[in-house]
Amino acid sequence: MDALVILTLFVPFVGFLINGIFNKYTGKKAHWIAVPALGISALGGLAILWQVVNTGQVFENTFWTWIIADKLHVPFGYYIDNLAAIMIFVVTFVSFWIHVYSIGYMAEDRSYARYFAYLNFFVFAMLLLVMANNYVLMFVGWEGVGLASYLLIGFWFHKKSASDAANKAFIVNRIGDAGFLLGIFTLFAIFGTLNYSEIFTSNIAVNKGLLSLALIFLFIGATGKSAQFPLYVWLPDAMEGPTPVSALIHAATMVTAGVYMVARSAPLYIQVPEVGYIVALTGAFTAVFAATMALVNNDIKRIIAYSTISQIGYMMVGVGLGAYWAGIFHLYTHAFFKALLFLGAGSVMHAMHDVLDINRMGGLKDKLPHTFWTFLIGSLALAGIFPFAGFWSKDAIIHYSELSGYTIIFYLTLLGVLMTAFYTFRLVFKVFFGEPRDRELYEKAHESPPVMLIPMWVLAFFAVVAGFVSGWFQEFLTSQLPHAHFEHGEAGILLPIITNGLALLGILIAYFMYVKPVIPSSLGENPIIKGIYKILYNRWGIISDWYEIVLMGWLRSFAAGVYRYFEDLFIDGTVIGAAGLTAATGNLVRKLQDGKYSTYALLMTAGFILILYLLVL
Amino acid sequence: MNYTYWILMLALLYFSIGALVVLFRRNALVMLMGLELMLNSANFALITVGNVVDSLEGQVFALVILAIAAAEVALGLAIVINLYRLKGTANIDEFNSLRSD
Amino acid sequence: MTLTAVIFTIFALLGLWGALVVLFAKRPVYNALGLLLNFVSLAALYIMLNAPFLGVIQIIVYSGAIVVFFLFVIMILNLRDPLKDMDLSFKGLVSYILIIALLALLGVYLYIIDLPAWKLGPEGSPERLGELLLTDYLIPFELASLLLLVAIVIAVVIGKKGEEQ
Repeated sequence: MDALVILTLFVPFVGFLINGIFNKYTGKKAHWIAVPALGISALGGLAILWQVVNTGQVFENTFWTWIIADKLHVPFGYYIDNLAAIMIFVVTFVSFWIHVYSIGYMAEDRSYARYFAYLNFFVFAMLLLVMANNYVLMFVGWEGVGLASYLLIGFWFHKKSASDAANKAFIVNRIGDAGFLLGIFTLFAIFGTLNYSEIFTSNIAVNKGLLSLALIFLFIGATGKSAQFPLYVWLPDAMEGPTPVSALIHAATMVTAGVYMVARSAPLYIQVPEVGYIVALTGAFTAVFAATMALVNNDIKRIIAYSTISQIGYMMVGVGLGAYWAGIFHLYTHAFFKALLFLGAGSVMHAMHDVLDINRMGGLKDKLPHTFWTFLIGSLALAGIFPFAGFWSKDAIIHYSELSGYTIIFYLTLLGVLMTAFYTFRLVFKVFFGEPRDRELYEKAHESPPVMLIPMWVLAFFAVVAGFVSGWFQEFLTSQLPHAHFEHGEAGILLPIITNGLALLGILIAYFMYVKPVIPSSLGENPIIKGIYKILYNRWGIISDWYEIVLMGWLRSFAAGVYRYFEDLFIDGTVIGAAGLTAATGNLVRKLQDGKYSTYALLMTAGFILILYLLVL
Repeated sequence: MNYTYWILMLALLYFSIGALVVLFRRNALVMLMGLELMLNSANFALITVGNVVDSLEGQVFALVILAIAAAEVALGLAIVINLYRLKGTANIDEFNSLRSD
Repeated sequence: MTLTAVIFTIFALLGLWGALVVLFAKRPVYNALGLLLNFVSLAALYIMLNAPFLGVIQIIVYSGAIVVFFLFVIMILNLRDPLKDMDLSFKGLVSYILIIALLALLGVYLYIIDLPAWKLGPEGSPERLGELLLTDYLIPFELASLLLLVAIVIAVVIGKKGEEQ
């Protein structure tokens, strides 16, 4: 297992180093380093999964002790149980196919090698996060993916919007990280150690209040990384990065790190269900809140971005309620269909010369058949239609939310289903159906090359079948992860009917609005409708723009004020003051040499008398 | 009553007044006079001490100083005459062309 | 107080007055005359201090030659107007304070240390002085005369240059 871990973890790192340092030499051939590296890593991931499934044991080992500081021992080691194995598989597998897709998508980019270097680095950091056997090492991976995210969002750094978005992502994330760190500190205060195996098997009497505090702090970190309310604002802006990056980092893997972290800390969260309730409630709220903004957005990537925020909210509901396996299950299915949707969007953009506005698209289903069909499969999975993957995982979560007795969470998840289906198929209908709205663009559109289509079909395949293993998945994870106690409720037939019904309703509404518009357009003149539309279109105004207003606005003016005050007063003052002092002293001394004998005589006399005094006294 | 002290104090007094003349008065001529006063006070002190230590060295020294003083006055006055011819005044404050600015 | 002491004091005060005249007089001739008074009093004091030769030399050289020299220059330069040249500025105050400080310092110092008791020393007769000058102190004597020669030469040269200008 040691060898497998090293292989899986470090081969991408080596790929990063090669492409990073020698990017002038690898140039257009960079993918020959990066993709095989990921291939090896993916095979390693499969091997790890195979080992874990077969032996059913938890693998843990430490390579060396990184920090030794009084009572704090932080090892550099791995902890691979069922949960980690699933995550490793998802990360490496999806990453591999996205790397392949990138060969086609980024073919004309001048910084081809740099892109692959960063992408490899991201995989390394993500795997570190997942494989770590203690919270500190996980945090290192956490920061690493944050860095990779910054580098990749701002990949086209000469575009101001991109570099601004990268800053925003990193800074908002940082806020979450502060919480994460506080959580780590509190955990250390409680347990005296930060290693998973020691914390989870610890039998000291834990102060519930303190533990709640630690878990809330950790969740704040998760909020930042997983783009939950209110730290979600960076994710839509992150769409400035290349689309494969959005697919990998901001859909399938990095943003799910928060969910992973909560699931990993399950033995702790299970002890304080009140905190879990906060987690679940935040998730449910975010799920609906983000969906509202996806309803009216016109940017193909941003719609999918808001969808991601929303779906992660569902995952948080799962892990918050104590149904850890369900949250992870949705993470797993979501990785496939969301990445697929992003890759499809990338394919559309590739065909439409990087246009993002869906109002300029339309009728593309004949021009881009592969893209259309895979995108449709992904959308059906997202909407949660039986028997696609999303149905199984989403329904499990909704079922648990029903059993939990928290009706508000239950209703929110149901509402989310309706909205998700609607905005997803609004996107599908506006892009692929109807008359093309921009004739010129339409004429020039062509399907993407196979190197891009094959990964899409692979992911589409999994978007169909991934859900069928739900029974095994549940078994697999609950054998090692704790599970909250729910009121006994069999998963009957009623709930799936309701959810599918809601989803179909959403699709139908979208159909009748965008394909066969039967809803009169005069409805759009209704002031209430218009008002609501405006609010949603502006993404709830200041709630989404708090970063710009607070950080960019206030902070900027505060900094400018401080600069004016301190710089002018102290720093400039000091420098000018020093110069002035020198000049004044010089002036003073100059007066001694006035050419007048009387002055000199006086000075000589004075000196003489002074010496006399010194001699005598 | 130690006369030595008082006589030396007298010499010191002459010396001080001579110094004040040099420092206070701006006229070159008067300053030279002050200088002579100071030299004389030195002579006086020398003779006094010579008496006290029972030797004639004081007087010999004083004699030599006298000769030097005479030479110095001659030169000094020659310079003063030249200065007066140059600037039309003997006020030494006027001769400040070596000032630093 | 013995008679000697009284006479001594009288001449001392005369000398002091002369010095003060030099300090405060406005007309240049008065300055020279004040100097003359000082020199003559000093000569008297020298004679009382067993230095008759020196006293006489003082009168001949100092008051007879040097003061006359000063008067010559005053007349050549035709300094008639009252001199308005007292330095009453800050510098003057400083110098005044400095001199007071000097007086104070040395006055106290001399008071503190043990000065030898007063006595009149050997008679400074010309024979005795001549002896010393031509034996022990020959070199200073010769150098002094050399100095005088040099001074004369230079004075003539400077004087001449001035005239040509």
